[in-house]
Amino acid sequence: MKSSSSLQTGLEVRGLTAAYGRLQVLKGIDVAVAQGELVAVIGSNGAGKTTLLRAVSGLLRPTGGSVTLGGEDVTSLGAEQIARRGLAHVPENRLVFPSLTVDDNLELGGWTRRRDGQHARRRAEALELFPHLGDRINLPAGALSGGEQQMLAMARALMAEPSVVVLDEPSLGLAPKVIGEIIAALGALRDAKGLAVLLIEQNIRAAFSVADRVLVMERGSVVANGTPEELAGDERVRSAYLGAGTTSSGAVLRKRSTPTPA
Amino acid sequence: MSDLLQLVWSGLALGAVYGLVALGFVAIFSVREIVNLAQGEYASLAGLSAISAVAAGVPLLFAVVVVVPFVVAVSVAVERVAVRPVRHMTPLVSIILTLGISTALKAAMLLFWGPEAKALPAFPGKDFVFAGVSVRSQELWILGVAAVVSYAVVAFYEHTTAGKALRACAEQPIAARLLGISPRTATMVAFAIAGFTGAVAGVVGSPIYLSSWSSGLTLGLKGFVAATLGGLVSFRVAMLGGLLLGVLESLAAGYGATGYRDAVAFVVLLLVLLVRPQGLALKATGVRV
Amino acid sequence: MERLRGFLPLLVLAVVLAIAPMVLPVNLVNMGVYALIYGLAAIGLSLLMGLAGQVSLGHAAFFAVGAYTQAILVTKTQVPGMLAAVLAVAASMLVALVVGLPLLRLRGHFLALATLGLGIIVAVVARELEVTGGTSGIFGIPKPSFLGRIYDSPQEYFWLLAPFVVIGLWLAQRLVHSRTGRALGAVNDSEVAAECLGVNTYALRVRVFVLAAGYAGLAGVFYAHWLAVVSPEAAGFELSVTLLLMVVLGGLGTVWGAVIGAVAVEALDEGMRSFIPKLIPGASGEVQLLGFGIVLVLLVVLLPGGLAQLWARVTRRRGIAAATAAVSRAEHDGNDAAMEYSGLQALSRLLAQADVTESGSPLLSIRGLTMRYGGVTALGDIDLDVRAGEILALIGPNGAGKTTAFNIITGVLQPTAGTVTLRGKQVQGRRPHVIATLGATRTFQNLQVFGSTTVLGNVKVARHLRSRSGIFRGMLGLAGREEREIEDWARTAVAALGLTEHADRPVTDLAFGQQRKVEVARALALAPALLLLDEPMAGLSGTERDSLAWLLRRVRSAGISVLLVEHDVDAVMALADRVAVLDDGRLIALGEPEDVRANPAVIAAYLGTDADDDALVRAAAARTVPA
Repeated sequence: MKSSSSLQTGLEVRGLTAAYGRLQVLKGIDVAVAQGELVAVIGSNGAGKTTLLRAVSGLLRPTGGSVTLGGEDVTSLGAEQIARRGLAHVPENRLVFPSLTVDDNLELGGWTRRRDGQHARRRAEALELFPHLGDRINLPAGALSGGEQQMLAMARALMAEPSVVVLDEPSLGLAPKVIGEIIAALGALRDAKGLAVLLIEQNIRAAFSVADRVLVMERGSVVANGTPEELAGDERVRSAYLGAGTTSSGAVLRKRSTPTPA
Repeated sequence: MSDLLQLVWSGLALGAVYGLVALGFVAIFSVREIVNLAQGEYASLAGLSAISAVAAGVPLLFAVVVVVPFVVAVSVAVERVAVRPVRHMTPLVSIILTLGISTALKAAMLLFWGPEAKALPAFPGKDFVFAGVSVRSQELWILGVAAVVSYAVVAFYEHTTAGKALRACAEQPIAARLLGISPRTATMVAFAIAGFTGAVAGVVGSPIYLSSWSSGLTLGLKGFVAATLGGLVSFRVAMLGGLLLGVLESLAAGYGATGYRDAVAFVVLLLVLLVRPQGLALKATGVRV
Repeated sequence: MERLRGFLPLLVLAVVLAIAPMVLPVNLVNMGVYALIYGLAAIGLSLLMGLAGQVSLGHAAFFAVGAYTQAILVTKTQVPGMLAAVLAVAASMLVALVVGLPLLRLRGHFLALATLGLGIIVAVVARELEVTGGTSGIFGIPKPSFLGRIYDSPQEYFWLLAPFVVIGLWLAQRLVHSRTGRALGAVNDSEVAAECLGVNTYALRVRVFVLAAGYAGLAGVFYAHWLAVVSPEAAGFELSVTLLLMVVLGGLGTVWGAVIGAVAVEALDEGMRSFIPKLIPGASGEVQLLGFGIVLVLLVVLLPGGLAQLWARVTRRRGIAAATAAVSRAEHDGNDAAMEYSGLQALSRLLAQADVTESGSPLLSIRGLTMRYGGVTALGDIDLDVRAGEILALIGPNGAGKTTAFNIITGVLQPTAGTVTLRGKQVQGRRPHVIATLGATRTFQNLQVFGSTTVLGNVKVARHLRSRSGIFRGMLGLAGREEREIEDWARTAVAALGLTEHADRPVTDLAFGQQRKVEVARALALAPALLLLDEPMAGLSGTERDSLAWLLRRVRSAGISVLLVEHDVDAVMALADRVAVLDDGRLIALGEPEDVRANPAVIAAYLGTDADDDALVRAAAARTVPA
C-alpha cells in the first residue's frame, strides 16, 4: 500500500461528477495515480471514460468533486492552465497537427517550456524513445501512419516534461504489433521517467499487460477496482465487453511481468 | 505594347495593395472562422491618420511608423471588445458583427476627417521611365513593402514557434489547448496581424489611391476576393491573387469600359466560389486523412 | 383559437396603419412611408435569413431590379402601371432564380459573400448601362394612379402601401406556419436531419430565395414611384446593410421583426438626423452611420434575438407558472405504465401506415461496399442484406467502420465503390431525401432534433413527404385539411412513444432520453419500411433501453425492418434477429446472435488473440529502457 504522502505528487480525483447539458455522464469517480504508477481504465463505449479524461485535463468543467495535481487543486482550471502545471493529455485520435512537420509538432509540444532552452535535450530524448519518428522528422504529421501518429502524439506530450500523462485509447485503430510497441513505450514512461500514467483503453489485453491497477467503468461509475490479476477472472470485466455468458479464456487476461521464453 | 506594359505595371502596384489587405483576411480566418468585413477600414484609418500626422508637422516616415501600431491596437481592441464576448459565433453572427464594426469605423472616420478623399505625400524617391513605362517611385515602394511584408508574414507562420502555434490552433484547437496554447490569445494575435497588414496597405497606397472614410469598402471587398482565391487559408495565394486581380482590373479599365472595373473583382469572386470554394491553392500532397 | 391569435396583431397593425396618417405630423408620415417600403423588402429578407438561415448581403440587388424595371416600363413604354408592377416583381424573381440556382449550392460565409458580390455587380451594371440611365438613373416616374386616384401626398401613399404590407406580412406569417415554413425551420436547425426526413433542402432554399426577391422587387416598385427617381443607389451596399439591420434589430426569428425593425431603423435614422446636430454642432446626419454600426455590434453581443427577444422575455414570464405546472406533471420519466395506457393504440395505428414489403425478401441490399480515404480503407467490400420484417444489428469495435457504413447507406456519404439497393432501386451516392422517399429514414447518434420548435413540431416535419402543399398553398392558407392530417398523425406518433404530455413543449427542454424518443417518434412518423438507428441506446437508462427494445420488437412485428448500429452488445444480442460484425472495415461475422457471440473471430476482435498477446510480450522484452 502506498502511503498517502506519495499522493502529494501524481493525480488524485475525488467524487468527480460531470454532465453534458442534462446528461449526467460522470457520477462520482474516485481515482488516484501515484508517480511511477500506471492505472488503466476500461469499460465499454458510453461508460464515460473519455469524459473522465476531459474533466481531468480541463477541457470540460466538472459539476462536482475535485481534481488534484501534484497536491494542487486544479478542478476549476482550464486546459491551458492545467497543461502548464505538468499534466499532459494525449487525446483520442491523436490529434497531431497534420500540416506541421513531426519536428514542428514536437516543438509545439514543448510550448509551455519554450523559454528554458532545454528543447534540444528533450527532443533528443523523445527521439531516442521513438526512433521511428526520427526517420520521418521532416514529414508533415498528416502523412504518418496511425501508429506513427500515436507515437508522435505521445512524444509531443513528453516534450512538456509533465509529471502526469493521461492517454485516451492509444491503441485505437492500430495493428496488434504496433500496439505492442506503444504499450512498451508506456511502460518505459512509467519506469524510466517515473511518470504517473492514467490510461483509457478498450483493448483489455493491452491494458492488462502494462497496468499496475485497473478500474472498470460502466455508465459513469467505477464498478470494479483492482490489479489485473484480481480482475482477470471477474465477470464484470467480461460482461462490460461482450455481454453475459461469453466464453473466453480468463487465463490470458493477466499482466506479464516476465517475458516467457520465445 | 508599352501601353500593355503600363497597364500591367500599374495593375501590379494596385494588386499589391489588394494583396496586403488579403493577407489580413487570411490571418484571421486561418485561426477562427471569421471573415473580418472591417479589414478595409484598417487601411483607410491608417491612411487618414498618417495624413493628419503629417499635416500636423510630423515627418512622413515617422508618421508611418507610428500609425501602424496605432491601427494594430485598434484591431486588437476590436477583438477584445466586440469579438471575444460573443458566446455563439456563427457565420451569420460574425458577418453582422464585423459589418457593424466596419460601419462604426467608417462613420468615425467620416466624423473626424470629413468626406473628401485625401492623399498622403509620396514616399521619398524619384519617378522615372523604363521601357516606355512610367514608373512612380511610390509604386516601387508599394511592391517592395508588399514583398517584405508577405515574406515576413509567411516566415512568421512557417518558421517561428508562435506562428506554428497559431496554425496549430486552427488545425486542432483541442490538441493546442492541451499543450497550453490558448485559442483566445491566438485570435488576438491574428487580429493584430490583420491590423498590421491593413495599416501597411493603407499608408503605402494612400499617395496614389487616396484615403477616405469610404475607401475601405471596395478595398476590403477586393482584398477579400484575393484571399478567397487561396481558400481564405493560403497567404501566398492571397498575395498572388491580389496581384492578379489588380492586373485584371487594370486591363479591363484600359481596354474596356472603365466603369465595369469594380465588377471585375466580383465576377472573379463568383466564379471562384462556384467552381472551387476551397480556393485555388493546391493541396499539400502526402497527407493521410 | 390559433388562427384568431395570429389574426389579432395583424388587425391591430391594420388599424394603426389606417389611423397613423391622420394623427401624425407630415414628416413622421413621410418617415413611415420609407419604413413601409423597406419593411416590405425586409419581410422577404427575414424569411430568407431568419427562417431559412441564409445570409444575404446583397438583397438590394433585387430591390433595384424591381425598381428599375418599373421605372423603365413606366417612363419608356406604354405598359400600364399595374401590369408593369407585375412584370417588375417577376423580373426580380427571375433574376433571383437564375442567380440562385448556382449560388445556393454554397453555404455560410461563402454564400453571404457571393450575395455581396452579386449586389455590387448589379450596382455597377445599373451605373453603366444606358437603359438604366447611368449614374443619374431614371427620373420622372409619375405618382401611381390606382382605382382612378392619384396618390401623391405622403398620407395617400402611406395608405396605398399599408394594405400591401399587411397582406405581405400575413402571407409571410402563414408561410412560417405552413408545411414549407416547417421544412425551412428544420433545414435551419439541422440540414442533415431535414434531408433524411425527405426534405429536398436545395430546392427549398432556392424557392425561398426567389420569394424573398419577390418581396424586395415589389418594395422596389413602390420606391420607384415614391422617389420618382431610381438611381444606382437602389442597389447599393448601404441599402443591403440597412435591410439587414432592420431584420436583425427586429429579431431574426420572426417576420414581424422585419416590420418592427424597419420602423425602428427609420426612427433611429430620423432621430439621429435631427438630434445629432444638437449634440455635436456642425455634425451632419451621417453620424447615423456610426449609430447603426454601434447598434449592430451591441445587438450581436447583448441581444442576438433583437427586439423580438426582448418581447419574448417579457411575455414568457407570464407563461412560466403554467409551464412549471406542466413540467412537474411530466417529470416522472417514461416508465412502461405510461406507454401501456396512452401509447399502444396510437402505436398500432402508426405502424399500420407503413408500406411494407413481403416478409423475408431483401429490402436493402449492399454489395461490394468500399470506402477509401487517401490510403486508408475504412470499408472493404461489404456484402449485406436486410430482409423485410427483421432487426439487423451492426456491431464491432471502435474504428471498425460501422458509422461509415451507416452514413453511406443513409446517403450522407458517397462510397468509393459498391452498390446500395433499396427496394430494387440503387441509391448509393444519392442524397438522403431520395432515400427517404423510398421509405427509409434514420436517427442520429449525436441528437439532431430541431431545436427551434416543439416536440410536435419536430414530428410534423416527418410528414413532409406525405403532404404536398408548397409555398403558394401555404401562404394562402389553403392547406387546412392537410395540416389537420399532419397534426393528427404527428400526435399519433407522439402518443405512440408516450410523449403526449410533452407534445407542445420546446424539444430542447426535454431530458436527453426523451429527446432520443422524439427522434424515434419522428422517424416512425415518416411511416418508413426501413428504420435506421445510429446507436439508439447510447445515453439511455436501463428502463429506457428496455422501453426502446420493446418498441423495436413491436415495430418489427408490424413488418418494418430495423438496421441498428450499437455498442451495447447486451441489448443487441437480446433484440436482433441477425447480427453483423465489422472489424477493421471488413465483415467478419453474420448470423444469429448466439452463433456470433461464440464466433472466435468476433471474440478476437473485441478481446484480442493469443497471437496478439505474444506480440505484446516480445515488444516489451525488446524495448525495456534502462533507467
